[in-house]
Amino acid sequence: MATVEISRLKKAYGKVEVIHDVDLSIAEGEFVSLIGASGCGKSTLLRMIAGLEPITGGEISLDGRVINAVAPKDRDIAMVFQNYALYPHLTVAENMGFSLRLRNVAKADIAPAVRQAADLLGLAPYLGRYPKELSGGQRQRVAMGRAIVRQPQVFLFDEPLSNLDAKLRVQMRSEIRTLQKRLGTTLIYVTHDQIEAMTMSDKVVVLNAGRIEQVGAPLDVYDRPANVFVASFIGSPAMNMFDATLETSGGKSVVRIDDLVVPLPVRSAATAGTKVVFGVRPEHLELASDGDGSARFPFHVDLVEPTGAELQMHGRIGSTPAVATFRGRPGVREGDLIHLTADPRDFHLFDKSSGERLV
Amino acid sequence: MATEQSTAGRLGFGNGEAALGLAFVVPIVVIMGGLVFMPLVTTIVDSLYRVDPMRAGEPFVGLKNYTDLAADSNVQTAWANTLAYVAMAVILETVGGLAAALLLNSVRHGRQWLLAAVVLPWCLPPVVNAIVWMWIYNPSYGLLNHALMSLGVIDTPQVWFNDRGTGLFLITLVHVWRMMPLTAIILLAALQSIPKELYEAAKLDGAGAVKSFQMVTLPLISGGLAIALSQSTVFAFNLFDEAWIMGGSGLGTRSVIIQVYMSAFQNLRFSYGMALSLLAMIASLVVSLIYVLRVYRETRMD
Repeated sequence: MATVEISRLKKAYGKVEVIHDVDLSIAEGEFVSLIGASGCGKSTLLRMIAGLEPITGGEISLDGRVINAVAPKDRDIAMVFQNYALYPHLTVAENMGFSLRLRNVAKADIAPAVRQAADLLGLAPYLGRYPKELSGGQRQRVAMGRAIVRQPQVFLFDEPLSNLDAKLRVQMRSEIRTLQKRLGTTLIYVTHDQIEAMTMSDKVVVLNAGRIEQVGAPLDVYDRPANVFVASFIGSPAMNMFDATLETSGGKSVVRIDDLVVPLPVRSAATAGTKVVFGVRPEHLELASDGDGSARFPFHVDLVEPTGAELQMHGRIGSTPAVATFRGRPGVREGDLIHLTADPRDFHLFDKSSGERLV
Repeated sequence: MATEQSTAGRLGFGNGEAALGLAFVVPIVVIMGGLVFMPLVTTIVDSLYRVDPMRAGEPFVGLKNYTDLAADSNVQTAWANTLAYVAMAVILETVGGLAAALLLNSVRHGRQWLLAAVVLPWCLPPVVNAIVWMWIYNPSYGLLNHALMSLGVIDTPQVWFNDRGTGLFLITLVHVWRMMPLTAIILLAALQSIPKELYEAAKLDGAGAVKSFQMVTLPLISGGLAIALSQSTVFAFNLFDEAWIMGGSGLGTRSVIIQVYMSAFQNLRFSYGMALSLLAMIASLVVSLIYVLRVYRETRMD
């Protein structure tokens, strides 16, 4: 268990800088997810913490000790790789005990440690098998077991669930979460799957092009995205965004989207005439009933996609493509023009030029 | 089914994939049968007769050729030489080849050029290779004497092949020079099949370079190692060109295969030579089998 402190961390390959001045502090026992699209630098960041990538600039400290120059083997960090990286020539038990064997721990002490981890992960019946004789989920567990046996300061998980099928992924998600709480070990988890990040983490770090866009609790990131990138990245289907202008009408702030005027719940500090991006999530849109006075969005339905639990309607509001999801079965057909509304508290407003959140 | 038939029809085979498979197999069966297995069988049979163009008749002599071989002191010396060649060649090729493969594997830029340079000696015809080295070893104008004298290692030019041990070693060196690239390439292929994540995992598990070589690399290339060891053993048992060109028929450096050649084609004792060649084959097979069994027992992972 340890704290991880990252300050002004940089990574460059030749002249190309891929991580720009990243600052992040992770508390003891925290479950932190790094999330972002491919190539955003999340894996590079994780590998720098592991010591597998040299650090170009800045510092990483573990429990207050700067580890920039510490070899990976001396960092006391365990990592679970995306493809598990199990040693194919060793049995499950030997894989899990590998790090202890390297540390010259006595054989008599390795066996119980391995046994304990195996019991925790339900691997006890497979200890004598080779990795090739295991299913994907079992291999994943062995990879975790190998990390657990060592009792490291920090766990690093690099997209550990992306090679599993959907059902197993859901199961492993909660298992990993439970395990981490039980062991109380600091865990840094890299994923491109926002559901994983949202469901498991204490803290989500949204990365984009080598920079941190937002750090926060999962629901904060969802409810109050700090900028346009986070707003469009977190949430599926993505938030509907409209180019709009901030105006004042009768002492209240409104936004104008083409000829549609939407009143805002609070008065914006930004001056009237500011170009803004207005956002509302598909799941917050609902069918408008007549005469309730709230904003009405005319919605041309182009495509109705039933996913089972919900209906996804793809269409247009004005000339901007938009999506709305309904839990019910509203009986809307493709080609219909319907009116949607949303609770003004679910509106998001961003500055057009900076992309930063306004309300 | 319909498409299968039309495919077969286009290729001109009446009954589909079986016939196509057969067509692929027939050439190799004919070639292997005609050039390897049949001669092998006739060699085994003839080694039990006295086949000698200088003497009338081909009587059945049973194992006499073999018992004569056991008593022949020249043959014994040839066996001792060959065993020395095999031992030195296999060790040098494997250690050198592994070192070269590790080096090539860690090179990032220009690996293909280095690989080409490494492979070059292997592409040379063995005779050309041996003649080049014969010049290097030459007592009066050879590069080796010159180099060692300018380095101050020796005072006077040496006649290298005057000493049997030195001769055996120098001939082995030429053979190793030619065959090591093959070992290097086999081991390089094995090294490249190891996912780099395994090394990263080993690093995080606490392994330094030596431990990770010992506990990850070696076990994972053991399949390639068995193949490399087998081929270097077989080729060293069959060593002929280098020893023949540099040592000729001299007993000090005479290999078993040279002995076979001399018995069969110079002394014209055909069946005697055949018997010896069979023993050489069995010896290299047995040694290779030991590697394959010992090493493959450890590699059950893929």
